[in-house]
Amino acid sequence: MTTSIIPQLVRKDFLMMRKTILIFCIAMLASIAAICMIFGRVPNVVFFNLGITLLIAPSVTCGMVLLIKTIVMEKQKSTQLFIMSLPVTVKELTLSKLLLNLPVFTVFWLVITGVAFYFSFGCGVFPNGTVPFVTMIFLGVFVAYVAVLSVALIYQSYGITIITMLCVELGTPAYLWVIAYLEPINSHVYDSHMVWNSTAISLAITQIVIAVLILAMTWHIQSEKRDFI
Amino acid sequence: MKFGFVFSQTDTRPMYQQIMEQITQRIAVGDWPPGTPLPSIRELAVETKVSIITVKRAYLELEREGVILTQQGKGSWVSESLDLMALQREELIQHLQQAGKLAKSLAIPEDELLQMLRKYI
Amino acid sequence: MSAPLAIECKDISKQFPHFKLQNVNLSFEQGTVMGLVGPNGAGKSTILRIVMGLIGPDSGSIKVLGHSMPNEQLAAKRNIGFVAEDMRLYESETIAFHMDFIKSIFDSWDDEYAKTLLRRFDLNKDQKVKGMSHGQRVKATLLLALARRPNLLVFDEPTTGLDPAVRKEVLDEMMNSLQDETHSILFSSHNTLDVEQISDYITFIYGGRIIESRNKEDFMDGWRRLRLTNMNNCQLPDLSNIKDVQQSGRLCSVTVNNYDDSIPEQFTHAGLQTSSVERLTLEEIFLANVQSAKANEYKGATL
Repeated sequence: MTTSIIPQLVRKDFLMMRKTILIFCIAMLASIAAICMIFGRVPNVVFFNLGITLLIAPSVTCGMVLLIKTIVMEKQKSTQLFIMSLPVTVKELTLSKLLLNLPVFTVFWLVITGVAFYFSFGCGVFPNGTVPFVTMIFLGVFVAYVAVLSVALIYQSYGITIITMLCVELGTPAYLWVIAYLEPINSHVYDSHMVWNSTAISLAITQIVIAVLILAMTWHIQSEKRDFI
Repeated sequence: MKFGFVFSQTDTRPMYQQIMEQITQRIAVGDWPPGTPLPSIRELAVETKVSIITVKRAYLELEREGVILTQQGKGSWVSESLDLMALQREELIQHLQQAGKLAKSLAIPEDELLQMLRKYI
Repeated sequence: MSAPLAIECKDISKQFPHFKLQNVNLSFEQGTVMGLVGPNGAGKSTILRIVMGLIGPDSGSIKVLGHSMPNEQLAAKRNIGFVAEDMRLYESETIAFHMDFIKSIFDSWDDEYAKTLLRRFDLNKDQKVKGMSHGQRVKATLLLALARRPNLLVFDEPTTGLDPAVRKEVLDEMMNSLQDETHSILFSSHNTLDVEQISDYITFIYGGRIIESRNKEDFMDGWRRLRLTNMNNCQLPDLSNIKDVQQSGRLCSVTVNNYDDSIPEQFTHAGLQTSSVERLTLEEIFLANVQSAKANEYKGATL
């Protein structure tokens, strides 16, 4: 009798967001098409930078737009009161938001990561030694997304969410600069074989652990919430 | 509307009295002859959009006056032994009671009150 | 004999940065209507949200339809239709979208009744919320709460900002939802006429406290205004019932609570003449209550 309404909530959000998602899918496909077109026509480094930007822009934007629309606006537009009048707890509502946002972004992220790896290494643009560094870039993007998602869920505020986005946007390149200057990483960038030394492995694992920790912390904070006005 | 109760917003009497009046009028004109079952309190409340407690009070007062009979679980009906004359008489007595009380609070002596009353006979 | 309680709040307190709800006790049995009245900021919405499990109290206990809140809110909310003044629907979606959504959640959704309500409320289900007027939005929100036929309706200011025709429709539908002893309503309103008309119980709230909570007939009967003439400039008797005194020259009007027939006599003993005893409307009781609560506050502050 008291079956959870999480599936209905996810379905409702998906129905409301499907056009947005579709538009960004098209944008991402357009980006991939553009990458195919410029492939081999520009120098490698330019191609790489341009390609990364083209790939990351639509997918990250989609992730951000989705979380603003489904999480932040829910509170700002007082539709949350409507939702909370239904048989649902704060915890379940949080879960329903995660179940929509995370998979959609993850699919986008997997696609762009796959495309990036294909062009970088499958087509031999870069030596395989660069693999750990490119892996860091994409793991970094994922962690950054999870951080913004978590802040959006906890605060549901435009201001705080957008400031977090900006911090993350500035922080990610800074973080990549630091990594690029780490001797154990940059010394193997031009190797023809990828080298997963302890620094590279621990950095990758740390990133994954941080993403998981952020999600766990968000879950904990949401479970403790008692007031929901 | 099933029972056609119409209330006036300019009527300043409490709502339960207005309901009582609507019911006694229906009885007085013969629309609800003795023995007629009354709608249940809830039914009449939902129908007239007046709170249940107010309808309940109207029924209780009518029962006290002997206009209707109520039996737990069976509902209410117009009293079989209802004497319309007695009903109207009861109403007059109530008015007189009010007048008497008011006269007392105004400190009007008894014979003066009787004189006043005589004027209207 | 008494029916099970629809709501039972015991001693709830809740501290906010600028507002405090103190020792709220509120209960009424199933099958009846409870109306909350009180000025803006008195705490009506907060109480309704606590009842819904959306705000956890600092202390005290809440039972709604037998479920303790907020811990058992899932089970309780299955049977509650909650509508608040600041509740919004999705702007970019149609009424039909919302109806489908609610229908997918509640097995109790009544398609026929939903259609009837659409007609009665004069709503077009294919219209987007974005283009709707305030009244239409309120009606759509009410429709979504009513058509699932919940046992308890919790409405926060359901008629605020509605024109008289719509207001009547809304009140009618609230009364229609009371077909049997298992259906109850808890609502708040600024409109004392609404509360006076359909409530079985009235609770008066001021400054985060409950000033009075009793059945409507007693509530309305308890308050009277006495018109007095004070020919010899006598001292008014010191009755705790007196809530307000207006004096000008020899005429005096006194508002009392918990009225009984001995009160005019006490004034007579004190040397005043009672020229009439009047009943009050809920609006007048409301104002007298606010005035007397403010006076008490002032007294408390100066002591």
